[in-house]
Amino acid sequence: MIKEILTFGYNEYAKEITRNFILDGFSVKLYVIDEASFTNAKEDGLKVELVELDDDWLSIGRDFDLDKVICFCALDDDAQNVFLTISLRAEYEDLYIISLATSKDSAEKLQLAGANKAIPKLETTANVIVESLEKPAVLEVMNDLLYRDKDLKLAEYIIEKNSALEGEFLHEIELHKLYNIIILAVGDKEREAEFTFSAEGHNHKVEMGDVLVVMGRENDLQKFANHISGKSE
Amino acid sequence: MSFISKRFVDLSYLLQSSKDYQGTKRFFYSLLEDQSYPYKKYFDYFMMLLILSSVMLLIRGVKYPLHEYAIAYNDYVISIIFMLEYLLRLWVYSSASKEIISQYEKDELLNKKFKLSKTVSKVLKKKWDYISSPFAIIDLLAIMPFFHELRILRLFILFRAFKIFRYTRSLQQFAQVLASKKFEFFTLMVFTSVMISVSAVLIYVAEANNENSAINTIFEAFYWAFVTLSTVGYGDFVPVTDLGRTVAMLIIISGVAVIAFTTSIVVSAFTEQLDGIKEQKVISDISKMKHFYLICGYSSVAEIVTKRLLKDDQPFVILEKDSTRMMEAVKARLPVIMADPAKQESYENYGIDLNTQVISVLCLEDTDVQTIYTALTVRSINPKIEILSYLHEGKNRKKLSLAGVNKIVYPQELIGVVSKEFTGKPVAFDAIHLLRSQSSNIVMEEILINERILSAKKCVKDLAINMSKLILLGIYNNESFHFNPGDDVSLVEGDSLVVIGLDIVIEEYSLNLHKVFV
Repeated sequence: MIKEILTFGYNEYAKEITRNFILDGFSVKLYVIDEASFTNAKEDGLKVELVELDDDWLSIGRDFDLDKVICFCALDDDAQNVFLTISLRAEYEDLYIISLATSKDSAEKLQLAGANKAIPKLETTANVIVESLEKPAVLEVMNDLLYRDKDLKLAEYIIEKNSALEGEFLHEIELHKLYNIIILAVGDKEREAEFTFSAEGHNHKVEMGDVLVVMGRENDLQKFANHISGKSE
Repeated sequence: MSFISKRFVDLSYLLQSSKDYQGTKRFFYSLLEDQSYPYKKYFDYFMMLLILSSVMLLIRGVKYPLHEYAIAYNDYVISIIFMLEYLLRLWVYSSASKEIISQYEKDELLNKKFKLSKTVSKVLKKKWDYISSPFAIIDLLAIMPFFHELRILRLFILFRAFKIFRYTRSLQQFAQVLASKKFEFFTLMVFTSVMISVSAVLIYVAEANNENSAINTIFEAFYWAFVTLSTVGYGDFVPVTDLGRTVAMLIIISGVAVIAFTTSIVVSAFTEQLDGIKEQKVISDISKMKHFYLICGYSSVAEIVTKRLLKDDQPFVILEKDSTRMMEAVKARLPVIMADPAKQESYENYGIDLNTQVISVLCLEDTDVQTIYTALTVRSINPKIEILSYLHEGKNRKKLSLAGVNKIVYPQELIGVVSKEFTGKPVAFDAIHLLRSQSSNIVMEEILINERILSAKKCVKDLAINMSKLILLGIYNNESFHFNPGDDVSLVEGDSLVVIGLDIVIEEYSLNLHKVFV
C-alpha cells in the first residue's frame, strides 16, 4: 500500500497534487529546487527540502521504503522533468515515477526517460473540455466515480483460486445482479491495459489472476467481494 | 397639386404599405441579388443551364439545321425568361414609390410645391444607373437574339455566355481582383498600343513595297505587330528587309517585357486580394453553418481541442486576433477568423449569431484578463449562452464566474485530481481510460431521452437493455445519477442514459429507440 508521496517542485500543479493527497490522508514530502518555492511550501506548513537538480538522490533510498512511495515530477520545465526522471530512474530501478508533461510529445520523451506514467497537461485538459461539450453526463458520472468521494465506487478484484466466478464466462455471469453492481470488464494483470469489456459479448472465461473491474455502491461491493472470495456463507 | 401628381402619390403610398407588393419585391430581390438567400443558388444553376443549352444550340446550328422547336426554344423561351429577369432586376434595383413618397414628404415639410416631373426624372435616373451598368448591358444584349431576323444578332447569343459571370461568384471575384489593378493595366495598355502602332507603321514603311514580303496593307502590318509582340509569332507574315527584321527584334524584346509585366500584375493582384477573398469565403461558410462551437483564441489547448472536435465531426469556428496564431490555424486548415473575440463588432462583421448559431462559447485565451473580457462581451450579447473557460490562475476563479462563465476548466486542479488515481486501483482506471480515450471500439456514450422516445418507452423495462448487448450504467438527470436502475424506474424528459458498448451497437440502439411504431 502506498504511504508516501514525493513531489518535486511547488508550482500550481504540484500544489493541487499535494492538496489532494493530504486530503486523502497521505503523507507528502516536497523537494524543491529554488528558494522561493521552499519558502512558500514552508509557509504552507509542508514537509519540504531544498535540493539541487543534479543531486544523487541517495537520501530517498535511505529515508523511504521504495515500494510504498510514488514520485511526482512536477517541475515547470519539461527538460528539467526529463532530467529528474532519468536521474531517479538511474538510481532506483523500481521506484514508481509519474511525470507531468506539457504535451503528448514530451510525455513520450518522459516515458522513454523511465517514467511509469506521464500525464500530458494539454491533452488532459483538452479532453475534459471536449467531453464536457459532447458528453456532459458521461463526464459527470465518471468524475463522481473516479475522483469524488461518493457512495458509488469503482473497484477491482483479483480472482483467486476457488473463487465463485472462476471458470465462468464473462457474459454469462449473473451473480452481480444479486448485489446491484455492474461488471464492467476483465483485465489481465499480466498484460497491462488489455481488457475484455463485458459489453463486447466475447466468450471470455474468467480465470485465476484475472482482475474484475466492477462498479457499485460501497456496501454492495463489499458483500460481492466477500461472496466471490468465498468468505460469506 | 395636379390631379395626376396626387394619383401618383396615392399609388405610391398604396404600394409602399401593401404587404403583398413589398413581400413579392423582397422575394425577387433575394432571389436575384442576395447571396445569403438559400434558394438563390438554385435560381443561379437554372439560369446557367439555360445559358449552356443556348450556347450548345448555337454551336450545333453552325453545321446542322436545327429543329424548329429548338429554334423556338432558343429564340423565344430563353429570351423571354431572360427578358423577365432583366425587367425584374430593373424593378428591384430601386423603389420608385419610396422615392416619390420621400420627395413628397420633404416638399410638404418645407412647404414647397411637389413637382411630379422632377421626381419622375430622379426615379428614371436611378433606373438608368442600372441600365447603363456593365452587367445590365450584357443582359440586354443577351436578349437580342429574340429579334433574330437580323442575322448578325445571332452572335449575341454569345453574350449569354458572359451572363455566366452573374451567377458564379468566383468569376465575379476574379474580375474584381483584376479591376483592383486598373491603373497598372492602363499603363501597360498605353505602352503596348504605342509599341504596336509604331512598329506597325515602321514595318509597313519597310515592307509594303517589297515584292518578297507578304505584308502589303496597314492592317496586315498591325496584325503582324500584334502577333509578334504577344510572342505568339504565327509566321504567316514574315519581314524580309533588314529594317523590318530590326523592328521585329525590338518588338520581340518589348513583347517579352509586356508578357512578364502582365503576369506580375495579375499575380500581385491576386496575392494582395487573396486574404480578403479567403475571408469572404469564411464568412459565407459561417453563414451557412447551422450550429457550431465558437472557440476564442487559438492557444495550445485550443489546438488539441480542435483536433478532437474535428475527429468527432463537430463543427466549430475559431476567433483569433493575433496574426501569427491565425496563420497557424490556417495552415492546419481550420475555419478561423482574424478578429478580437472581446469586441462586439467581431460578431457583427462576420455574421456570427450568438443567439441561434453558436452552441457554446469556449474561451481558451492566453490570460484570464482576456478571458474575462471576452466572456463579458459574449454575455452582453446573449445572457443565456453556455460559456466554457480555461482558467489560468486559481485566484481568478471567482472573477470568471462573475463574468458569466458557466463551466471553468482549471488544468492544475484536473491534474491534481487525476494524480490521485495512481495510488489505488490501477487496473480499474486503465479500463476507464480506455473507455474514455475512444481508442477502442468500446465507448461510453449518453443517449438523451426526448419526447419522441418517451412516446413509446415509459420505464427502464421498455428500453429492453438486456436484449441490446449494452450495459446501462445508470440514468443521469440534473446532476444526480441513478445507478443501475431497476426495471420499473420510469423515464422523464431530459434523462440521459449512460451506456457502455460497441460504438456501432450504441448507434443502432439509439436509432431504434427513436423509431416510433404507430
